[in-house]
Amino acid sequence: MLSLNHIEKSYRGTGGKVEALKGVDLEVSKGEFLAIMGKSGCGKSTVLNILGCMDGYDSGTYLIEEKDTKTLDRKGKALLRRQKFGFVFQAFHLLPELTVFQNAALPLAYKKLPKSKWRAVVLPLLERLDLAHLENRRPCELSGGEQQRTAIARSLANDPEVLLADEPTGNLDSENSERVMELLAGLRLAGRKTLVLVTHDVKIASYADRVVEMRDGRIV
Amino acid sequence: MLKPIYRFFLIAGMAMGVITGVFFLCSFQRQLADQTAAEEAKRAMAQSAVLYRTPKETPENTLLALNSMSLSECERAMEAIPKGWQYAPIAQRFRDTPVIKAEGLVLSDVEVLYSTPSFFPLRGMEFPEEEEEPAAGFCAVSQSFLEAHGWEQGTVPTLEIDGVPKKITAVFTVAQAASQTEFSLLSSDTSLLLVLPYEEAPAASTEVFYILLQKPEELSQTEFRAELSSIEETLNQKYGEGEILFRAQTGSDFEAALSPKATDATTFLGIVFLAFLGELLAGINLMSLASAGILENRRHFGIKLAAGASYGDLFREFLAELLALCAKGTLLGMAASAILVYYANRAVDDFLFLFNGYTVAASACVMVLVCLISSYLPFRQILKEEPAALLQKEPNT
Repeated sequence: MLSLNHIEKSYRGTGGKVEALKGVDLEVSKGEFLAIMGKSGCGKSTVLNILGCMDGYDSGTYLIEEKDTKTLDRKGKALLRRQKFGFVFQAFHLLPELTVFQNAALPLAYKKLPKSKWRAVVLPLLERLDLAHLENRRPCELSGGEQQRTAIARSLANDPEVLLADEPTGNLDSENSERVMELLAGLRLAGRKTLVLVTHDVKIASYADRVVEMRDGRIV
Repeated sequence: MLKPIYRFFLIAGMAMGVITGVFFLCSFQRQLADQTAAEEAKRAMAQSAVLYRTPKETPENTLLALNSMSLSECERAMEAIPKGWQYAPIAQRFRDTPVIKAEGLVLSDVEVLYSTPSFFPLRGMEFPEEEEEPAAGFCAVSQSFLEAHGWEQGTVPTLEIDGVPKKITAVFTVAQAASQTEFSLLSSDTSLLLVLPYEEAPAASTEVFYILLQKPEELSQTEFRAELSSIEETLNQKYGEGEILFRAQTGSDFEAALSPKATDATTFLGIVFLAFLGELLAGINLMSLASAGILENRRHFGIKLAAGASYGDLFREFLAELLALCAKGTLLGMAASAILVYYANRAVDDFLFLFNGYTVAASACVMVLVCLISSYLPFRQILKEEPAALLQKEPNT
């Protein structure tokens, strides 16, 4: 479904050019739960960003269902993000001025779904994630676990085929981490979604069907 | 999209900009209006002349040292005026103030002037259409005269001047002094009764200030001046009394008296400078606020892009929010500037801000434009970045 072929990516850092990815080859099958493991700075988040069309790459090819993403302009990439991908971040990345409900419904606004239909989509998600009673709260009034569950609700609102999670439990305690992972795994199975997860935690990676390890910008 | 503190300061900045813009434009408008009025006054004055008596050594271009004429001197002067010219003597009783009565009550503190009906066209005034040209038994009063006695036009009883009934034919406003000369004669709030026609003024107690003359259309300025010199010469040859001479001068000879006072120009420049400084500061304030607000919200843009927004969606949201803030700031600025201009006009004696729709609209447009440009520039930087980069450059929630 997703295919990275010899992807290279470099940044211009303060100390000069930094090679983040040095020829990454990766295949992700439909419905697969893949974990990418590696130490901090090895390039795993960069791979996830490229998979989600959140970042560009210097060379190589990235195919989504056989379609080369090099041919896509920014609008095309935005459309892909809207239709195919859902993102969960380590830092939750919720909008502080919006309520739980509004945060979860954010993708629907960009999907141009009429506001009258938002509740029908979002409320079942919030109920499933045990957030329905918090729908009018703002992120600052939530615990870390609740915030991450809100972010998961947002990532599922547009019913994506692929969920991309970057260290989703990085800011959570072990109890909340476990709960979030069980939720993600359960949701993946129930919705027949593809899940790509980045982590440095072996325990979290153990939930995945397949684990790949990265080191110094390469998959080993 | 922007944080409340930025919204607040953006609205305040817009309002500030509109206020200073209004003052800036009001000052310019005032100056332009003053210039236009001065030019019109000069043109009008060039079309008229004044015939008066003055000591021999009096510098030209002044009426301050005029010697009033007796009625017989005035009649002589009028005889010297070529036939067909329009003129009007301006006369006042000094020695024996007339008794003015209305409904049997004596009215006090009323300045009484005598003139001929031609005084009105010469002064650019018109009688109401329904009135016939004033004849004997008619008079005109200033607006201040009516206000002083609590009357309105149409409700004024017939006046009696020294027992002779006079019907009020016209109400006029005494113009703001166009020159120091006029100012020395009457102020604009004078409760004035103008008795027409002049011929009926009691001869023994009346003196004439000067005779106002209108330039005949067929004459050029040079010919007009030549004719005036000729009148002057004729009168001085016939009736000259050594030290007191007749003098005839065109209105343009008094131009010096019309030039704006130095304080006016200084006030104007001071206001323009302050307003310009305010406008500049408001512009810089808006630019830095918009820039800081947008850059601080980089992560929000990244989150929205991750949620499926396109760059076009972000731009539309940004524009809508900005325009809403601009509208609020502009409305606030318009209201505040209306109040401030009102009080400024009351506080500054020698300067009047011209507040009108054009001034406000122009100022608001300038500020909206400044706000849009100053916000678009930092926003353009956002549009160049990948979503992942936008998410990384700020601390986490």
